[in-house]
Amino acid sequence: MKPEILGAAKIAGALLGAGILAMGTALQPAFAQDTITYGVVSDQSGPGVPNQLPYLRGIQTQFNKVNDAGGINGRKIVLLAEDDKFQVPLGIAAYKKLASNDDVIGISGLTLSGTQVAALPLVAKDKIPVVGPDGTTDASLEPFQEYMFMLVPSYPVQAQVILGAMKDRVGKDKPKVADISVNVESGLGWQKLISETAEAAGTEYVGGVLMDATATSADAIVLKIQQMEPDFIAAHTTGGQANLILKSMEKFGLNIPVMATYASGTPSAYAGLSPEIGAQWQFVHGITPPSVPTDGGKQMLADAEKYGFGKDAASSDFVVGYVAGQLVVQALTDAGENPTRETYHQALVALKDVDTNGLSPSVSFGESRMGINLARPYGYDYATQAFTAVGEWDAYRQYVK
Amino acid sequence: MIFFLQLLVSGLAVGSVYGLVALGFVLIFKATDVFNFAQGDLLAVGAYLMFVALAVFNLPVALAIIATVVAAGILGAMLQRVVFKPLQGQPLLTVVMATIALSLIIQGALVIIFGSQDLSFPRTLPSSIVAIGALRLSMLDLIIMGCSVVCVSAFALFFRYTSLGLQMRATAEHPEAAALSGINSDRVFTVAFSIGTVTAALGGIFLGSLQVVSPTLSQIGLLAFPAVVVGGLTSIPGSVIGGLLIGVLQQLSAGYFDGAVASVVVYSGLLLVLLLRPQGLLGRPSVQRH
Amino acid sequence: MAAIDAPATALLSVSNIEVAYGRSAPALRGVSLRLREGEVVSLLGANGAGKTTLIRSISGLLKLHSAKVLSGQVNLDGARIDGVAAHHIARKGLSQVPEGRMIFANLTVAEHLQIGALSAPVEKHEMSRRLVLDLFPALRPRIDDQAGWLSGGEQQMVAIGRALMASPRLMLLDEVSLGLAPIITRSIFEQLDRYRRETGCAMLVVEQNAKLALDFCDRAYVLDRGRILLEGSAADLKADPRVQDLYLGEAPGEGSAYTFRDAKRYRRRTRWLK
Repeated sequence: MKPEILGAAKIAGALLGAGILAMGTALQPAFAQDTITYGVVSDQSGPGVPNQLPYLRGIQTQFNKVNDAGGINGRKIVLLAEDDKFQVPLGIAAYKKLASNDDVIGISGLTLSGTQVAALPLVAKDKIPVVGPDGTTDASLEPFQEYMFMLVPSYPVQAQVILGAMKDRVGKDKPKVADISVNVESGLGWQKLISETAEAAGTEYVGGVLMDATATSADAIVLKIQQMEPDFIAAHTTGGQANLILKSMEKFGLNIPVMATYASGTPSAYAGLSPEIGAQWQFVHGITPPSVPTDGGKQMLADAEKYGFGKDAASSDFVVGYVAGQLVVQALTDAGENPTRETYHQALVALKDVDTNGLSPSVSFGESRMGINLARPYGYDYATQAFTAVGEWDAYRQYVK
Repeated sequence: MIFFLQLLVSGLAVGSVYGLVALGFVLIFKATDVFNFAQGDLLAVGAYLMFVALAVFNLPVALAIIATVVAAGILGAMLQRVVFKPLQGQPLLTVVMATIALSLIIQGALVIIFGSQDLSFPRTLPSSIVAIGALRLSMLDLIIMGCSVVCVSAFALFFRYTSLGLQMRATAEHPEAAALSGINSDRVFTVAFSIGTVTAALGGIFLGSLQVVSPTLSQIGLLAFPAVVVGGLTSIPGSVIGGLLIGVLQQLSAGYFDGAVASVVVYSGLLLVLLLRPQGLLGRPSVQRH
Repeated sequence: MAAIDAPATALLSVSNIEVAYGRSAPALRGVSLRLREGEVVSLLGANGAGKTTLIRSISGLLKLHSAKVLSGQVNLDGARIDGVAAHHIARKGLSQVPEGRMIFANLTVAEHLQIGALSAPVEKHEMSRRLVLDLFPALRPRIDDQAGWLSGGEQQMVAIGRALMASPRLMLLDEVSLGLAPIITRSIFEQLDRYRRETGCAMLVVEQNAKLALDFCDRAYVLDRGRILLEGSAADLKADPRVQDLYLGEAPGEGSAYTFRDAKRYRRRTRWLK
């Protein structure tokens, strides 16, 4: 073969291979007659992968489980997972494909905030129930969205829990709070949120720092925080960033407690640190991270292992997907023999006090469409290498307005 | 003042990592004319290899580093044989596209093999805190800086004083004349790719120790490119200096401005250097290729 | 004029090769050439006659220039070398001083010699180095200077020195006189002659300066438009009126100032030779 053609063929093969690999192990659609098709829009190959891929696997696990047990009222549920590569235009295009071409009965995902917000009018027009994105934008709650069924406590709820719980823990009359936020849209929103609600929560806002997602050292950030002299820090960062922040705090001998959003809730935040330093960082979540021993957690891990998702089941995002999947399956079952978007929607609204076996507080959608409107903090136990819950769910209801 | 010095030191440590990756890139480019867009991904591969050595094979840290470096060297040689040798003589764009494809394949493969979660080294290099006056340094930072100095010096000596180094310099400058003199360019290219991959892997080991091992390491590795451009595309010491500069600029701008501004400052600096001195700080005004 | 047959045990034998660049018409057609151990052979011809192509066919650089031997063979010491990589051929005892010198501008003179020595056994290195510096004492004070800074003549000495370091059995010299003042050229050829006498190295000399070449060599070939036009001993060719007319020119002592008009005239006059 001519060298040029051989070279070109190799490149074509490489690109093809790259394309196939990039798709990962996403399920391929099987267009059988007696099936229910369900869509997920999430990042399968871009920077959001560490959080969004486990979320997808969580849903997949539930669907595989119900299919193995005979399906939903005898019908197999088919998952169509579209890759938005963490880009809004691709996410919207994916949504449109699922809603129109594939005519799915419901959708999950739409986690990327830009995509979520842009999709809201389309969702309302198509009347497609969207269950449990792995993140809740303000726009999904206010004004009221008929078809958005949220699971992850919104940032305002997390802020209320963090500010309230830390105020009580610090014990001062008006403790000073600073924020560290990842330098993306949600982080900017978080910074604004803390600065605006600190007063109402009985705390004093003394400033905030933004941290680049690709920063390899938090020294500059921590030094700036040191100058602000806060009593505690309300943070919204990734697990990797949390790790860097803790390392820098150790370097400079800073002993300021941090309570963060769920985004930093991964074991890697605590890696390579002493228990004393690790104890400084807690994160809140509306679900129970996998390593906290619960009956639901054990079952979930067993299910995940069965379908080859054991690695992903170590992530809290997997839990969100798993719970979302459970609710979807239940609502579709409740919707009867031939579910339509309409009957499925009604079934979702009717879900009340669904027990997730310890994986979350009981879930009710109802009028508010907010399935889990609560969060509680978790810490990391170095001895057992597992997360531990700090108190019961109910202890934190008082902070949520 | 302490604030500035503290940031400077952090910047140098991080910059050493960029410098190492950039060094490998320049090396490959000088010897083989290949613009390796997958260099940042090779950094991620190094970090994951180290993880495997530590977590799967349970090697002690020192042994794990050696194993990772050896594996990276072999990988580099294989890449040359399998991907770049067949593409020799092809136009630049073709080869660039091949490196981009390689980059995508590596990223995809890492996610498939290791999952998308952040991982961390179960045992790390020493990271105790060292105080020098009012400055606080992590032992890890010092080790990284020290290692980079050693690596750069070792490579400089290699190039200047060994026969293979001489052959590489000759091949890089004039491949035809080198062939006439009995130099096996294929062997030279293989060595270049091996060394280039090894330096990237070392960067990955250090970066994985500084923070966590995740697919985003590939993106951090991309910061090696501004380092290369600033330092001069064909200058090995330049690439290291470029890396240090980028690291310091990053830290200083994160300290004095905001996280958002850091990228702007870094790339504005890059642009400024290019406008004033297109060949980079230490590059040659024009690269002669016969 | 009868072609002189070299005995079967030639050091270098080019047998009826046809060479083309890419898909173009062949640059060499049916070219044969023989060279014995210790012989000096010249290759003469106008620009574009195919001299450099012939040299590339011998030293293994055709592939680099997207050309190949379509038919025929090239043998060095009985072993086939057409299609073999250049660096392998260099290690078999063939050195080249390429057209334009092809020095490494950033490497020092000493490093050039070091590189040249790669193809030679280690025992010979020191002796070869002394010999080179003996032949070209002008290089001694410049031994640690980067070659890019040397004068044209010095660079040519470096290129030759590099080739000599390999202790070659056959040297290819491509347009050594190009761009050099006559006095320097003469001196270089004198040293080459001395080297040949001391080591018995065979040489294939490509030269536009036909007078210089014919004074230096034992036998010569004349290449024209990809074919061997003439071959014979140096004496015979010097006496040949065609060679006198076209290559040795009228201007005494000068190299051939071969112009395009000369070429046209030559072509018109030699039409009958085909």
